[in-house]
Amino acid sequence: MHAEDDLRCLMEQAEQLFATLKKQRKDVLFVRFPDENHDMSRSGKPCYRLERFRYILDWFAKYL
Amino acid sequence: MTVHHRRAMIPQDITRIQLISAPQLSPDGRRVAFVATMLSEDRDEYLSNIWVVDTTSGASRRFTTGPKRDTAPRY
Repeated sequence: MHAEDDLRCLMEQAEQLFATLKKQRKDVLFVRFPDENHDMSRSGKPCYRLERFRYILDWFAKYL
Repeated sequence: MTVHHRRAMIPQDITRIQLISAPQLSPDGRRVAFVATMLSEDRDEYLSNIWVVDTTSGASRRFTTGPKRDTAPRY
């Protein structure tokens, strides 16, 4: 999961990670949050924070 | 006695967090005004009001009831 406007860790890094994992045929889900920056999880749009939290819980519920 | 049941955090819990900021001490030192911000799921935005706490008793009360963002308290 990555915020589109994260200027501290550029989205391109997440794209590299996603592409590499896909190439290795790993299970991966790429979630991009538009108009959000590096501080999203703390001060971003509420609906995105809730969505992010749900993605995390759903992922661990499935894979743990 | 209040019984607190421990449980794992769920997404809705982030709407219960109160963010406290911008404290301003009154000239006589008896009160502190501050901003309490909460995340509103319904309105998909952050809402804040100004509160005042008594420095002696510790009792706090809501000072403003604006519907959006009341900020920057000043004595």
